[in-house]
Amino acid sequence: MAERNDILVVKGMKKYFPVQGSKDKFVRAIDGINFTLAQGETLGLVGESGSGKSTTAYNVIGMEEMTEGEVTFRGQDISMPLSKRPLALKKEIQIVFQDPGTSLNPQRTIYDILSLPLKIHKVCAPRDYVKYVAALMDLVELPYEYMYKYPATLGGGERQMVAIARALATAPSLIVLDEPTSALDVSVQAKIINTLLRLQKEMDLSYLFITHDLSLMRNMSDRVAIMYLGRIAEIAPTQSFFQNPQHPYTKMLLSSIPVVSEEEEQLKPTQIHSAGEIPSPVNVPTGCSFHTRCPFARDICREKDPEMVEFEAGHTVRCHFCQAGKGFVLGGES
Amino acid sequence: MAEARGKIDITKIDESRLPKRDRIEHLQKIWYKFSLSKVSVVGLAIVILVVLAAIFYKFIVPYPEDVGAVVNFKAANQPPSMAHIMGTDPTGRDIFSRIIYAFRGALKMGIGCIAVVVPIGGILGLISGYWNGTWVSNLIMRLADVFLALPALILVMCVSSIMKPSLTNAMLALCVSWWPYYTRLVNNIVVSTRNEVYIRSAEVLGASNGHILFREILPNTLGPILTKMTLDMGWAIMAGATLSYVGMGEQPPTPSLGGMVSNGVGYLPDQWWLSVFPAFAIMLIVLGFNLTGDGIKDMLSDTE
Amino acid sequence: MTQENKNDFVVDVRNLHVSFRTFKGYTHVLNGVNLNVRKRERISIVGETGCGKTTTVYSIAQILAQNARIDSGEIYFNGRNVLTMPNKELKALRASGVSVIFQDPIASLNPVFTVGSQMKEVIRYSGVEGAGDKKVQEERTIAALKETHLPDPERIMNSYPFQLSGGMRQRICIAMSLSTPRDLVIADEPTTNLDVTIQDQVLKTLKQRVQEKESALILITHSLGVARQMADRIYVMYAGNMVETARSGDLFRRYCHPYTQGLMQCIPKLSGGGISEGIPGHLPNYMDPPPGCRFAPRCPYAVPECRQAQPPLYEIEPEHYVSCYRYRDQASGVMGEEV
Repeated sequence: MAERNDILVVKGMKKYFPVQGSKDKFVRAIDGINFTLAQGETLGLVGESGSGKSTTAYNVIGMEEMTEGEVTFRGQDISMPLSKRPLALKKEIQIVFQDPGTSLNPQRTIYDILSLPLKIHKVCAPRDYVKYVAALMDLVELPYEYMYKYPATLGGGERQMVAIARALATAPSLIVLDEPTSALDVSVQAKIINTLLRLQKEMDLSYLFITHDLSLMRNMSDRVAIMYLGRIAEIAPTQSFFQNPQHPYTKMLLSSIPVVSEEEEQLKPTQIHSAGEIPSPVNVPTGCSFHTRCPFARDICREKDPEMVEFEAGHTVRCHFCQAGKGFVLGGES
Repeated sequence: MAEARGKIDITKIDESRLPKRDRIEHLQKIWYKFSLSKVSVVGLAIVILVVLAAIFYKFIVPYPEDVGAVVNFKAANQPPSMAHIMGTDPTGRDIFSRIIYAFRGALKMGIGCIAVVVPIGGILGLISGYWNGTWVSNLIMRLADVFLALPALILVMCVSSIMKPSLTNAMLALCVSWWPYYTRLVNNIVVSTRNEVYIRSAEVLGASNGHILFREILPNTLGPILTKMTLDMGWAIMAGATLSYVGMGEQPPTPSLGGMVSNGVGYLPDQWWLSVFPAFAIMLIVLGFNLTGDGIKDMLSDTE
Repeated sequence: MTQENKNDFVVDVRNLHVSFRTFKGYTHVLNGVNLNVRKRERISIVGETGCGKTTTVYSIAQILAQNARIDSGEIYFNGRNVLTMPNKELKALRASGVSVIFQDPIASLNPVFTVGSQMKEVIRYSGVEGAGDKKVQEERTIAALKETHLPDPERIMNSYPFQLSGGMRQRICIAMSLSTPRDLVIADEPTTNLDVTIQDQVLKTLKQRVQEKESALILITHSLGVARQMADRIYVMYAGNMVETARSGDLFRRYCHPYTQGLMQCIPKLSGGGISEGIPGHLPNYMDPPPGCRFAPRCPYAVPECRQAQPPLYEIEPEHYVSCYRYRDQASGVMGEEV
């Protein structure tokens, strides 16, 4: 993997939130994760709510201060919170939030919203703001009439386009996409995803895509990482991931997806059905944190935390029963 | 590639195709929402009528000279008639004229208090809300608690009994015990707005504290402040009337609604018009402001 | 369907037009909706935000917002027109005939009462035998919770909604709406806020419970996948019209309406292959909707005729209707024009 041009490297990231009222208890939102993101690549970070995927995004962007670990961006240490990051760095890393209804100030017009990054980073001369805003609107194919409208008068998809345009205003190289289409209809989602893919090519953007939608990741990302209770359960290139899912949790996720064709039905793992709910991150189960829901759990899973095993090149799995080259073999504990 | 990345070309933008700001439709929409409730339109109409009457009392009232210390025993204690539609008082002054004039004092009381209390309370609330959890915010909020614990009317009475009773002193005393309400209101809004995703977005972009506080957060507090202001106008007028009822507000011979009620109480029930009409006037004006406040509240709610 | 009369249906909606008053005038949302549900049948209404699917079912349950106006049409519930029903009957309909499961269980459960007391309340007003008896209420509540696979029903009864997870809350809503017999259960996007593994579990529970209780189900969803998993018959709705309806298997084998086709291509498939560019254009402005087919402005196949008159629902195979002129020649009949 030496030839990879990684712009973002996350090593041993941890984020513990104190639990009010008890000193030695913590919400272990992220419990030591590692991943890298290459220039121009999309990494899909997939998980259920409570898996820590959004917290990971917020730590990368600096909205929260991580408890432990190291994040580097183009070789530069960016483990500090937002308030300590230099302005030039803020220009490089942007975020698009899930709900454009809350990420745009209802009291400000589209022009106000889009011209803000121009003002902060002095992207152009003040007399060119209007033109620049118009150019940004062109980029995401929004009609000019919206310029002086308030976000509430726009549809959800259009609002998300505004949020994307705002993130693009400073010409960043990394955009964190925090479930940008999960609040939107599929036809709108299709438009947004295609716009994002087009922009990625045009501007050589890297995406850290947070989502719960595996089908979407199949069609959008280069690599997929599955998170469960603050850890990465499986990470792999998209092709390998969907052809050869290894971790029981991945299989459970895949088997739960409602699909629209027989062809897809064939791809769903059949030997596992969804059961149970994700436990509270305050009381993470001992051993493998998934053992409470795993139909294959054995004694070793309740006692020992599994290591990450490289199953194929770039495809690693955190499971006791996954063996390098062979994949998931039950009874592998001898 | 790296140089071309993210460059946005603005040379092709045709400025003549860009729209202009249109604020009228926004106002129309606001008015539509307000007018959905007919009661609040009635409230607003009352408020406007009272304000106009107070400003132009000279042209409205039949006996402008009666607002002062005038004695006309020939016309004393007359029940309502065509000449004096609300009757006259024991010194022969026209009650209708005096009520209209007393609106001035009532409004002065309300507007004066609001004008002092809102900026002070609001700015303190902004500061304590934005730096929530720091010693500055704690200091402001505990101070607010102390002042909130003072019973407003008792404080006013103390001030009035130490200094000379007058409208200004009553207002001052009211303001002292009143600003914390706005501090609390604004503090609450700022604390909750502070966690909104759009504030986070501005932070990620690198916006300054000043920008976030005044351009992103402040506009969100204006609505609730406006609502509370309107509702409080009624409350302040009521407080003013109470004070003048016990003789600590506006001093005779200037007419005040509370004072007129108080003076007329001794003549009940025979000369009922002496206190009933001023009391009714107090009710009307307070009702007007409260209904308007409700309308503003509905207008600013997000439901379409 | 031609031989059936209105008594065979739990719900039969005919040519329903509903509009809403707003500050600029009336928005004409429902534009002649036809929908029927047989006894014990599970149907799904699929459509995107703002297509009128919620308005349709709220009309059936008569829980529309204050500014709604039913312009024309008929809604039969068990053969009785709900639009001309006296208030007393309507109340009974809501208490024991229809139950609604809302999208957001946290909003439909009262945060200050325990789950148990809220469920008992529902049973108390349902009019079932012994509904006034506290013991009956208790038993039925526990039974209902058990049947929805909720662990430890006694503990859950004494919990407040906020102490439970989203999936559990939605199961409680399912338990609540099926704690007494119902002819019809309306589920309005019941799993939209839930994770996919929980959604799977909740949907399975819902399907099983509806089958056990022999209720009919109207499931509103924006996901064709969920509809496929749950429904016998599917209605695809666009801008206040049912544009296509068919048995579930038929629809996914042969989707005909240009809107259904567009929608299908937008769905990211697990098998990959990318997704289409989306459907160009917007939902029409309901204030001034286009004459004729409301999808015509976005339709790649639109011909002048489409812009003149709303196409009827052509029957292209048994129970498969499409509201599009392209299928006129293949049609064996037209909905509403049967003998």
